[in-house]
Amino acid sequence: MRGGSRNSAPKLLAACCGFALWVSGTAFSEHGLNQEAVVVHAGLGMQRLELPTLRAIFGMRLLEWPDGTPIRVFVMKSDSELHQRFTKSTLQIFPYQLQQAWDRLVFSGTGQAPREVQSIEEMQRRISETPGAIGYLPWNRLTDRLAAVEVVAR
Amino acid sequence: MKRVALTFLLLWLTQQGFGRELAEGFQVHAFAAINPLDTTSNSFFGGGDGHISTEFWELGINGSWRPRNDLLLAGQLTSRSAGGSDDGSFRVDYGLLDFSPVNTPATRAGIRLGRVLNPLGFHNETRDVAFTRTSILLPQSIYFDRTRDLALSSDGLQFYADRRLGIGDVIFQVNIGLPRAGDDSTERALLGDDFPGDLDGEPSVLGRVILERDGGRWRFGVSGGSVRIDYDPAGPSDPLPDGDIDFRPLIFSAQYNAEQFSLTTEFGPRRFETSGFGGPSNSTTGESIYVEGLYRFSPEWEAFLRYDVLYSDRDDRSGKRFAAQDPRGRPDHSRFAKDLTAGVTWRISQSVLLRAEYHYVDGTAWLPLADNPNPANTDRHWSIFALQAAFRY
Repeated sequence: MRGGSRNSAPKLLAACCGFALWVSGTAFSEHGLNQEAVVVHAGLGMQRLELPTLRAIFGMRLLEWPDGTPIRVFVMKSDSELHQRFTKSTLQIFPYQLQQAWDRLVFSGTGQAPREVQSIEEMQRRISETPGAIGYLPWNRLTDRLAAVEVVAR
Repeated sequence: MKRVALTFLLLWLTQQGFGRELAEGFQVHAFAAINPLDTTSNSFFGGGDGHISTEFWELGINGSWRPRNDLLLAGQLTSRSAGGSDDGSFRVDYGLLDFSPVNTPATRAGIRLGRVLNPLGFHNETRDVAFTRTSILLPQSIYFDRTRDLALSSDGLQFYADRRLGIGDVIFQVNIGLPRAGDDSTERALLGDDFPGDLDGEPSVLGRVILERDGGRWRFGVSGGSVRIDYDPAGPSDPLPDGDIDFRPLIFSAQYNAEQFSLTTEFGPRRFETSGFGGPSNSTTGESIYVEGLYRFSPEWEAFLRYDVLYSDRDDRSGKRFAAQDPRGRPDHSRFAKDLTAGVTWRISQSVLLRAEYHYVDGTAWLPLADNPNPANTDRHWSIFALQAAFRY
C-alpha cells in the first residue's frame, strides 16, 4: 500500500499532461485544423458557422438556413470512424450524446433523424446534389462542387 | 401469432440501419425489445415463482412527415406486454401536428396538437425505447410502470420553445390536456382495486424546463404540474362513491456526461390529493429519488449502478402508521421500495443491444397490483433478474 501512495505523483503528472494535451487538441480543432471538414452545398454561400449553431444543426433542432432554405443533414453510420472523429473533434460532444439527442426527437414525435449515407462517395454526391445540404468529409475528399465551412467558437 | 410476427420483425430489424426516409421528408422508425425476467418472490410482469416470464416485451413503430419546414405530422403505434399490468394491445402513444412559426438560429417555438407526450423528467417520453435507457427497467420510483399510459401522454396541446443562449440551450414545454386514465392498471394503481366505475381525465397541466450546457455535458431539468382525474361510479350499487384525484408531481433532474461515464440523479416530491370517495379529503406527499452512475468501458460495453428509493408518504416512511389503520390489511412494506440495481449493456451495433441486470429490492411500493392481487401475501425483501434483447430501426 505504501508503494501505491508513492506511485500517485507520476499518475497525477500523467493526468495533467493528458489534460493539457486534450486542451491543446480542443484549441486546434477550434482553429479548423482537425481532420474533417464541415461541408455544405456550394449554392448556399455559407462561409462560417458558430459551434452552437453547428451543434443545433447536427442535433436536428435547427431546420432552416437564414435564407429560409431547409437544412438537409447527412451523416455516416454512427459507429463509423469518420462520424466518431467528427462528433468529438468538430462538434466537441460525444457520439453517444448525439445519438441520444436523435432518439429523443425520433421516438417522441418532435423531430426527425438525419439522413444516413453508406460511404464517403455517397456523402460527396448527396451534398453536391441537395440544396441546403450539410455533412462532413475528410479534407482530402473535397471536390469543387462542395464548399467547406469554417467553424468558429461563439 | 403475435410472437411469430414479433420474431420476424426483430430479425428484419437487425439487418437495418437507423430508420429510413421513404420519401422526401417522410421517415419511419421502429423499436422492439423482449425482456425475460424472474424474481425470487413476488410476481413482477408475469415473472416469479421460479419461472422465467417472457410476457414483458415492447414494440413500437412510428412515422413522421415534414411537408414544410414549419410543419411536422408524427404518430406512434405501440404494443407493450407486462404481465398483468399490460396486455400487449396496440395503442396510439402519440399522434400530433406540430406547427413551429418561429425558426431562427437563436429560437424555435411552436405548438403541438393531438395526443402529445408528457414532458416529465429525463426519460418519460421515450420510456419504452430500450436504447434511450440505461437499464431494462427505468427507476420505478419516478417512472412507475404501473401507471404507464397515464404518465406517458395526454390529449390536448403543447406549447414549446427552444432558446440557444450564452449559458446553454433552454428547452421549454408545457402540456394542457386530458390525461389517459381509462385502463384497469391505472385504476388499480390509483384506487387500489379495479372498481365497476371508470376513471376520466380532467383538464391537467404538465410542464418542463431543461437547460443543456456545453452541448449536453451538463443537463438540468425541472418538471411538474397537476394531473386531475375523476372517478365516475357505475351506478348506485358501486361500492366506491364518486371522487376526485389531484396528482402533483414535481421532478428535479441533473446529469453530467463525460466520455466514459455519466452521472444522473432525479428527485421528486409528489403530492397525491383525493376528495370524495365517501370519506374525508386526504393528502399525502410521496418522495422519489435515484442516483445512477454509468461507466462506458468502450463504445460497445457499459455498466451501471443505481440506488432508487420511493416512499409513498414522506410523513410515514416506514409505512407502520398506514399498516396499523388500513382496513384492507396492506402491510407496511407496501409503502416504500428501496431498489439497488446493477447491470451491463452490450451495444452490438447501432441497431442491436443485449442487457442483463439485477435488482435487490426492499419493499413493494411499486409492485404491480395486477400481478399480486393480495398485497398481504407479498414479501418485503425480493429480487429481480432480467435480460433484454433490443432492436432499433
